[in-house]
Amino acid sequence: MRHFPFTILLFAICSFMDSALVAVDSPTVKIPRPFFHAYCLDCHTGPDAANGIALDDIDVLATQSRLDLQDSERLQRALKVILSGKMPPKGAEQPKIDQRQNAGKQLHTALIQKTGFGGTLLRRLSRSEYISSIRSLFDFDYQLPNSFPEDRVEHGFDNSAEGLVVSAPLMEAYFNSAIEIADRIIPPLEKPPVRTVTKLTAKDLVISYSSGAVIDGTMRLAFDWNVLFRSTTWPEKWEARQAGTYRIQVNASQLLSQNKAYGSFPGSMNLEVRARSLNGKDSEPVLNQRLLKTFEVTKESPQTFELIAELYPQETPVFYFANGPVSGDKKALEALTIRMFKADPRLYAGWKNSPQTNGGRGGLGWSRVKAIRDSDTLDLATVDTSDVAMAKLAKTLSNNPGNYGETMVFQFYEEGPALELHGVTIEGPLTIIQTPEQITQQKRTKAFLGALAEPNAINNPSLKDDLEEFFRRYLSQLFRRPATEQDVLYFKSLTANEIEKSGSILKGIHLAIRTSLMSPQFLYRGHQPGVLDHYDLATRLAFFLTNAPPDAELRRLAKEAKLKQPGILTAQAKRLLTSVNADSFVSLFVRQWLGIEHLTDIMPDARLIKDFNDSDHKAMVTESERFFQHILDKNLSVETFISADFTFANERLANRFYGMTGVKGNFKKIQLPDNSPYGGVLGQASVMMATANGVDTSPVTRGIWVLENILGDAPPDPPDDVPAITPDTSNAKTIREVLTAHRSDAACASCHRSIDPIGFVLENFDPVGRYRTHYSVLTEDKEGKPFVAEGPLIDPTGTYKDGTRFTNTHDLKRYVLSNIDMFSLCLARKLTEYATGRQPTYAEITELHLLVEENRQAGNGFQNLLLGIVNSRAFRTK
Amino acid sequence: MPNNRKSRRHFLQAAGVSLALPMLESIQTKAKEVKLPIAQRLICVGTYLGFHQESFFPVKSGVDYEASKLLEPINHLRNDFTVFSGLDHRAGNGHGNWSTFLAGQKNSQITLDQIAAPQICRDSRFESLQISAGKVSRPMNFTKTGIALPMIERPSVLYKKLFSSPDDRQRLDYLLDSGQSALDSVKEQAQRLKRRVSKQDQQKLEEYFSALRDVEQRVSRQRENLASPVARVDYELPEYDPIAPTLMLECENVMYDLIALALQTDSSRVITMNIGGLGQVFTLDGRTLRAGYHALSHHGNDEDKIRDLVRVELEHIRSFSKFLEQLQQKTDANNRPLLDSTLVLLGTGMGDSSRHSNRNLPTLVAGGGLNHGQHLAFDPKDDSALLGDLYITMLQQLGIEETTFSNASNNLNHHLL
Repeated sequence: MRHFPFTILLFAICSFMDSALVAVDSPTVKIPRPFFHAYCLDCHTGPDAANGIALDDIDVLATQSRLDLQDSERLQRALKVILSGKMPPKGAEQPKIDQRQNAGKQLHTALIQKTGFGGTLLRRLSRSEYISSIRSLFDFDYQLPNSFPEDRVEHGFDNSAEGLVVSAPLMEAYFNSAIEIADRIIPPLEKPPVRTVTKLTAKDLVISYSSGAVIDGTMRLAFDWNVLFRSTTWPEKWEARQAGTYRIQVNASQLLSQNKAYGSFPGSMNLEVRARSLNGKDSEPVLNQRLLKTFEVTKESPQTFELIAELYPQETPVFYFANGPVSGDKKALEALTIRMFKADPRLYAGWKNSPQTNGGRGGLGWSRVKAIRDSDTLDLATVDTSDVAMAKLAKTLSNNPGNYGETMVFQFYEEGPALELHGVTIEGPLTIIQTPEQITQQKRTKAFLGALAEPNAINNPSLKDDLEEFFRRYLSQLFRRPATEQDVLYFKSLTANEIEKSGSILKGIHLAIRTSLMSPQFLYRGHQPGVLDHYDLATRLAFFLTNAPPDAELRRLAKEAKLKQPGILTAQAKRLLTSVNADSFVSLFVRQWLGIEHLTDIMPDARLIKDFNDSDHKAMVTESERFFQHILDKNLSVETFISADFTFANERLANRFYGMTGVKGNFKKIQLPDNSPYGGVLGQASVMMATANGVDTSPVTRGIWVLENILGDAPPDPPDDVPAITPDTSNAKTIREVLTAHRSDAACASCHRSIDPIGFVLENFDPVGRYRTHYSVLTEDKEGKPFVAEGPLIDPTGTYKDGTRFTNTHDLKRYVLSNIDMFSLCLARKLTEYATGRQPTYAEITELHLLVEENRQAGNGFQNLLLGIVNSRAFRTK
Repeated sequence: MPNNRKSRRHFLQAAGVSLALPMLESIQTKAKEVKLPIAQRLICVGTYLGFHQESFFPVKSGVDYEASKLLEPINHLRNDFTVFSGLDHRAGNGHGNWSTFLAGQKNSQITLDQIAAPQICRDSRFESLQISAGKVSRPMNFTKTGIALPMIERPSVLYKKLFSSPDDRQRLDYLLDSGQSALDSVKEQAQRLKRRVSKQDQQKLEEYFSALRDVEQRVSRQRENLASPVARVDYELPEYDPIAPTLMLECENVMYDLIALALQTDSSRVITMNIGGLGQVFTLDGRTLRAGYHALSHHGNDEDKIRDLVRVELEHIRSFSKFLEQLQQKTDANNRPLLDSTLVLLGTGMGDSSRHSNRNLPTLVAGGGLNHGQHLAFDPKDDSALLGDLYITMLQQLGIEETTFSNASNNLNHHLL
């Protein structure tokens, strides 16, 4: 059993592991009370018990058929020290070897029997499970309102039954969300709209930046720039309140050029009328707005153009000069400028000599340029009007199309060519229409209601039967198991009462939906204790692997009572793993297992780490997700999590964080160079960043992270009176010196012997996961400006508690690989916790142990391990 | 400004609000039982582009400072506010860090309003309200978990939320009434379920029952509120929502009116407003400005542009001044001006938008029973005082015993109490 050199406990257990699972159902084995009385209770008694561990209730525990988690943990600690020989302490009377072994074996078996399988509490739907349930039931995406309370994280996961409490604010959120959801399915009636006629003058149209200007009572447009607030105009005070058809009349004309520099405008001016939502951003591209109609404006005298358009609520028509003379594109603007300068050197001189060439911005800037251009005192002979000089200025100006465009466009507003809008009239709604969403929803609602949606259904003699049938179907899907007759009749009468009161089937169903969405049978899963039945098994499997309720196929298999057949359960698990929703399993599990869910909360110190942005956070998390997904999909060995010589990265992540060169484009699998410190979860930026604070790294945080999430050997919390260790980056004391002092205290040493050496090895990763050999320090130059300098050399070496020497991350990885079952067990345990919503019992951990060992002998495929968990007794018991 | 007249009319109507005051009376009852903090409400207003520093900060510090150009329209209220210079969060520069305004040194930290809301807003209808005037590009409020809160940008939506129409009330009453029967039904279902589950699960189910009881009480309270005239306010909104960029200043005025009404009806005690700063082209005194607001803010010390920029900023100050006047005229249940028990912060995350500098943030605090009438000038280069220190004093004045805020751990009590 070389795989468990670190504790004899596991060694010992494995030696009688085979008996382990049988033990649960075999004749009762007792706790070895005489052994405890003879060797433990002298010291471990009463309030002053040694190490605070009292065992004087051992006789009571022995009589209990079931141990709770705390008692079981206390006895596991006892088992550990009995088998390791640590207790009784040196100097006390010692049991013989076989006494020890027998007591250990007996206690182990008793523990298995007394902890048993199962025990998940009623488990309420988490936020994300609630959302996916709504989607599955009603076929639309429901976004939780901001006031919907967050779930509490317990034991590292937000889906543990213990953490998923129902509080008053949550119940209120359910109450309100139920109304919103019912309103989506059965929308409240709206008042019929009133037809109105709105006449708008040029002054009633919007201007932003330099999108237009009102001159001589006309709104002038000249910009052809694909951003709403740069080039378009729309009514200030009009929007459609109701989806309908509207008559839009726009009075427009050409303003032809008195603009010497530009010359004449060729052809027609194309006025596009598009529909935009006022709820959208003003910075959206013009071309993304729905085109209603394009008019060709060809005359200098005003002409009225008319269209009938469909507009949805909050939409308004927006007017765009689609072939306007001034572009927002740098190159085009530069070419235009050169052409205009050549045609009118005085214009060039105006720009050249304007005091605020670059900061002119807007009509004010233009008036200054114009004043110089038109000045009697301008002597062109004194200005360098060579092609080179003009080109140079044109380039400088056009380089900032915002500043320059906003200013130069005023020449077009004043002198043309420009498109003039004299007024806009909007009349409507002429007819009422439905939005595409309304039409889709109506189809959904009709399908959902079945016979109840028929016209005049209220007078249908079969109404009662139709209601019954509706609720049998709906409630069975909602409750994830066949609705009882009692439930069906209950909802039927509730609905029938409301129908009678209001005279409306829809009102009745609306109330039924609201009620059902607060039902405990919907909000909680896993009602019956013991081995899961087909329906509960389908539910657990579906939420585990797809974060959603069972789909049609699982529901069918449950109904046919086939799901429990081993081949079928495995095949279904495999099917779900390839479904679209498996993404949410990977994402939710990986983020919580690795503790990288809240990465965005950490913003690196911008002085130490330059140009870090939100896309980096996202890329790091994506890397970890894609990596996990890959190992799962390809059934690669569990070792791959540690030893991988590849990763997934995009250009920025690979080149900026992982020191690679020449990686291009989006996320893909990347082969890492030999001896790369990256690769595997022990070299991923997401993990390194999550275990630092953006400024400093802490060997303690990273050491504990590895013990908890990789080796499954989490140290207990430090005693209350110990202050937290904070790195001292400012002076000579290194974190190593601080920790050395810490370890000299015996109470601290017992844990820090394992924590620190692992943490030191990982010091070679900076707060955002880049490999480094030296610390960075922030200092000031002579003028007091801060700059980053190379600080002390990092010493990553250390000796682990079992004597293993670590000098770099490869040593740490080798250590984990040579103890791979520890990692597999840790991962298997996390998956089980995530799937079952509870901490596994002693018996269940023993089962996982066996599974991990068997799986290793069969090639250690990760997907196989996961399928093994799905088939485990722990998974199949409530 | 053509819209000004219209807003003024709204303001007059708002002053003539007719409403009963059951909620404010309930405060009074409480006042007898426990000693309430001096300040009970918090309003935070932030302008995206800040204020032109030279036009905002008075030259002289202390009580006998002379009003700066921007403070002139509000000088008649000088004893009701304090102006601060030299304060900031030592946050990064640029528009991206504007959101540190109420958050402290870093973006996404819990903001001043969200610290205060759960503590001082327990009994009002809305724990906090987030509003914007104009489209805004940066969030101003973050929750404990760093979530940026959305803002209400339409006055009609805010109005509806605060004072629902008779039709809305009728429907809400129906939903609450039938909702009560829904609650009864699920209670029955839970009782049936209780009989089927294990002993531990029965205990677990107690959470559900207790939550249900709470919501039942809340629902009946809500129904009582609906029946009371508290939510009926005689204020006429414009027929259109002033959300076009050109109408931002009008929107600002309407929103201030609604905030004052929300306070008067005790609908909420923590309200924030984020005032945008994109390319809005305003028409002031009948003349359309020749550049957008954002372009003006990049004035590069050009006098003409600064003049136009300051004209826009003067509009902000005038609106703010009218808002403070409303809070002086409207009274609480003790017949004392609302302003005396309302802390009003006017500030920004942007110190100098022409240079994108987030140092030395123009800041003004009014009301709330602080010792006002002064210009507190701090040296922006000296680390002796941070904007967070002011926030700590504000929180304490609201009865919240915080001693730190982001990177700050002092307070300005010695200046303001």
